[in-house]
Amino acid sequence: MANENMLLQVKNLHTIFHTEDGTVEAIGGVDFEVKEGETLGIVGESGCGKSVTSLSVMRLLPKGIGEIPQGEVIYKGKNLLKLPEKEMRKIRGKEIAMIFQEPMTALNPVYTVGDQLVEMVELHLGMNKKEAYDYAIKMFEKVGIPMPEKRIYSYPHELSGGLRQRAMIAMMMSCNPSLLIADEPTTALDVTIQAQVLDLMRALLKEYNSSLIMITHDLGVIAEMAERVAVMYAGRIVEYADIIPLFKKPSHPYTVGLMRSIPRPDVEVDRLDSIKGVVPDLFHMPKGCRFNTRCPYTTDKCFEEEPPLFEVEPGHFSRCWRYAEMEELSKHWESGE
Amino acid sequence: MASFIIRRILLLPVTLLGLTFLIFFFTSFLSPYQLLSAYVQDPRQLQGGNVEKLIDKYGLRENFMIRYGKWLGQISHGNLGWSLSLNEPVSVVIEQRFPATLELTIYAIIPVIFVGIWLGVVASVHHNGVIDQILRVFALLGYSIPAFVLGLLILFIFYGVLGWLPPGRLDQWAQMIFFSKNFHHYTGLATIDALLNGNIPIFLDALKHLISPILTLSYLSWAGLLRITRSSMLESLGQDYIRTARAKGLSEKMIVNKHARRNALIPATTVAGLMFIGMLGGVIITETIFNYPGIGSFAAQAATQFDYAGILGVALVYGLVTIIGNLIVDISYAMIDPRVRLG
Amino acid sequence: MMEGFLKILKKIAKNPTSLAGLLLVLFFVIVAIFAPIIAHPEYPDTPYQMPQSGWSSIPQPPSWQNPFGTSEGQYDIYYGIIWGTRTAFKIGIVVIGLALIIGLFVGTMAAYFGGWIDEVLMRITDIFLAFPFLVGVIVIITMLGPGLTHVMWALVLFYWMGYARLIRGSVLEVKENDYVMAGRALGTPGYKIITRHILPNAIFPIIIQVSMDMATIPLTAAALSFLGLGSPVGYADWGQLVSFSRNWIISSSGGNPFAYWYTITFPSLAIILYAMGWNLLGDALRDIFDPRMLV
Ligand SMILES: Nc1ncnc2c1ncn2[C@@H]1O[C@H](COP(=O)(O)OP(=O)(O)OP(=O)(O)O)[C@@H](O)[C@H]1O
Ligand SMILES: [Mg+2]
Repeated sequence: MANENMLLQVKNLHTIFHTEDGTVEAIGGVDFEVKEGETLGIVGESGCGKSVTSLSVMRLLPKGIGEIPQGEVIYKGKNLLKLPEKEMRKIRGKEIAMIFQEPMTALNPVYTVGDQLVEMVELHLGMNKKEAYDYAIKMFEKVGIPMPEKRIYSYPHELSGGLRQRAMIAMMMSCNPSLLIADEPTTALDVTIQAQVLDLMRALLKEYNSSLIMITHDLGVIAEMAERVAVMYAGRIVEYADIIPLFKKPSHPYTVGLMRSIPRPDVEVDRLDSIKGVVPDLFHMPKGCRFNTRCPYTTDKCFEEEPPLFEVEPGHFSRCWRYAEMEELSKHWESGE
Repeated sequence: MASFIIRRILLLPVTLLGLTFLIFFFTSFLSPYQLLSAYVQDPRQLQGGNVEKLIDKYGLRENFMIRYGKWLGQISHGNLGWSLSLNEPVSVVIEQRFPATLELTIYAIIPVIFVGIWLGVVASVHHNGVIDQILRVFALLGYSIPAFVLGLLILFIFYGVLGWLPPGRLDQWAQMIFFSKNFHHYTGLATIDALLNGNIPIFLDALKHLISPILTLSYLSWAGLLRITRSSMLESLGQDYIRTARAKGLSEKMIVNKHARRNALIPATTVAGLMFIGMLGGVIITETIFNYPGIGSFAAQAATQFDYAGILGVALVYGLVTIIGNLIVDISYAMIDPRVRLG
Repeated sequence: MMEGFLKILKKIAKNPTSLAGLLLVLFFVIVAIFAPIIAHPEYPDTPYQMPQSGWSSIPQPPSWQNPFGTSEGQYDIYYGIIWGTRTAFKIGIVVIGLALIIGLFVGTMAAYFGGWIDEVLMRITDIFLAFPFLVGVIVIITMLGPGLTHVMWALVLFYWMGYARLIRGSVLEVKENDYVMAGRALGTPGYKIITRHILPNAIFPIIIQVSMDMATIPLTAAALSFLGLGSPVGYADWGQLVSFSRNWIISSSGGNPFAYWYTITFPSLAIILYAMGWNLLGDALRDIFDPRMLV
């Protein structure tokens, strides 16, 4: 199992939150792997636990509220969950970097974008101020920010959304991390800018030979970026496969539903209606399969027992009792069964 | 940045004009006879049949705008009238008493700003810990004990019972020296002047008299600044950019002291400004309780003794200081928050 | 509406400090309402006048007849505190009520009409705010002369600005909402928009503010009485009771300052508990209505 070029292995990760109204389990046993230079996509609707997964890997859950009672996060052979905080800080930013969804709020409004990059390279690369600023200009140039020697002195509010996200990427790539986690990096941007930013990320990853965990609710982005995909639903991975098999032979009704909601020029689908209902909230998880409140193909078993991850074919997993019939079933999505 | 400050300073005269207008507007309640004291420089001017002549001279029966114009002319020459309560020209009273009040407020506010903000940060970092709970009770008391009660309690304990901290500004013997010819008044602040004159006993005496009024005056501000710093720190610590800073691998110290605190300072600055203005009002009570000879006790005295000239003079001083205080707040605001500079 | 009220009560009851605040406020409300029973006035026509049991200037310690003792001038401290509660509520309600009306008027006008009306009203508000509150109040009292009514006017004149700003902000927020715009397009009359949509939205921040101000305003009035600018001598007023004690508790004449402890203790306690009650209640309401501050 311990592959030569294995970068990150997440095993049986559980994350709970202690809220005012009680303790809830946001992530209930998630496994995935990222190889060197590979891009893993994590896809799922809002609230299914994508961000919590990534924050758990980085150990950035809100203190005193979020907790990881069980699981392992093995990075380059070390279990990050066992690392002392001081060691973990050396991993964050230098080894594993993270890009957030909303570049406006993710950047500190009272410091210049250059300063926010500089403090990071001073810390991890041991540069002095002068070197760090020169380096910042180089990084800004690399991510395609015009007039970098001026822009490093801009405050976040003085930049457009696209430029802010580029500055964020420059910052997070500045220490040449082995793994980049991008949590919906393009959701807040408009479509043309989105494509540019994705291109930029791809180019940079290739140049640095870094791996990427791409978190999104957009299967289109996944199709463009990822080699392997984990589909998440309500704190579980429900399907896990390489990109081609996943699109060719989706084996979980949730994946099927997601795919039907990608707008395609040839088929007319009602984007919002293809999966009825919403993700159940953490306090009211149904018994049995967590998707049973919205699934068109439920059987009695689905309401009694939660399915395990079945191996559909080598390297392709599905958490559905009826995975084997899925190809057939998915032809009559609308009518159910 | 520089242009922001210049713009603000250019606005000053306009604000000043509005302020003088408002102050003078209040005098509309007064009869010409009552108002006259705000113009005469010596009561001897009022002897004989001079009163009517003076009323005509200062245009006190004219319409409001003319009266206002003539009054502006008077005050711009530094003539603030005759204080009936102290039997001195108002300008002289202010000149003598302003430094005392300044001394009190400076000593009251500076520790509040530095230590109060620091305590607020500490409370937020130890959110819900012991320090936090103690500071919370302390803040609640601060909000609930009005200055005149707190002042009296302090006076009761530290003077009435213990006899340590007497009211007034200086003891008798110290006053003799302080107002003697060979004691130089560089700043008007008793403590500083005593040090500059190399007179340690006077310095200690002045300090002894300052402690109680400072405590009284600043207690509420301690509570206020602490609470606002704490809650804005907590808000700031929950922001996305703090998560980013953590994701960058920055140390907790760096996150609190650099990324969170700077943002939390923005609301704290506003509150500090409001507090300063509140303190200016607060000295009226505090100085009265402790018989401290400053502008505040003069205001109370003038108000109870129908000293119209005196109260107008006080209002002008207060307005001026408030405007300058607001200017300082605006400038510090712009230094902390880059988003303001554009606006 | 009733249901929402009950829900709020339930939330307050859950938190011990909030509950303490509510109970303190209720306690003072009851004292104020039943003042004639708790402290029977000797002269029913002038119930706010504190009864005097003699003319000696020296305060007398608590006794059966004067449970909290007497102040200088032999005013009954117990009576003064009970009826002083009424004074506090009277001042609070009148001043805040009037300030609220002015603030409501100025704030809604400014926000609803916008443009130069807004500009002018807000600049006037700014000028009033450029003055320390207490100084402004004292200037007005000097011009009008002392007395409780004048104190209340002066307080109103320098207290409406906060409400005006608060209400203006809420109105602006609501004004952006589609349903108000739609209502306007449909020709719903202005006053209806204001009472239907704007006020309900602004009501919670106002309630929080009022709760805090129910502490601030009567205490400011008490401070003015303390300075000798408020109520006439002998009027049941906490500030006056405190000022009566000043000369006795610092007696440097070698006497025992503790001898007159009751002259300061009881009035101070009333003031502090009253203020604490409203402040705790205000905090509780803020926690409930504005979860952002819930920290
Ligand atoms: N601090 C927290 N306290 C309590 N519950 C939380 C907390 N953070 C997240 N959760 C819960 O965990 C679940 C997963 O949230 P998460 O943010 O990971 O969703 P997501 O998949 O990233 O959604 P989105 O696409 O909206 O970003 C949600 O039900 C959320 O309510
Ligand atoms: Mg998310």
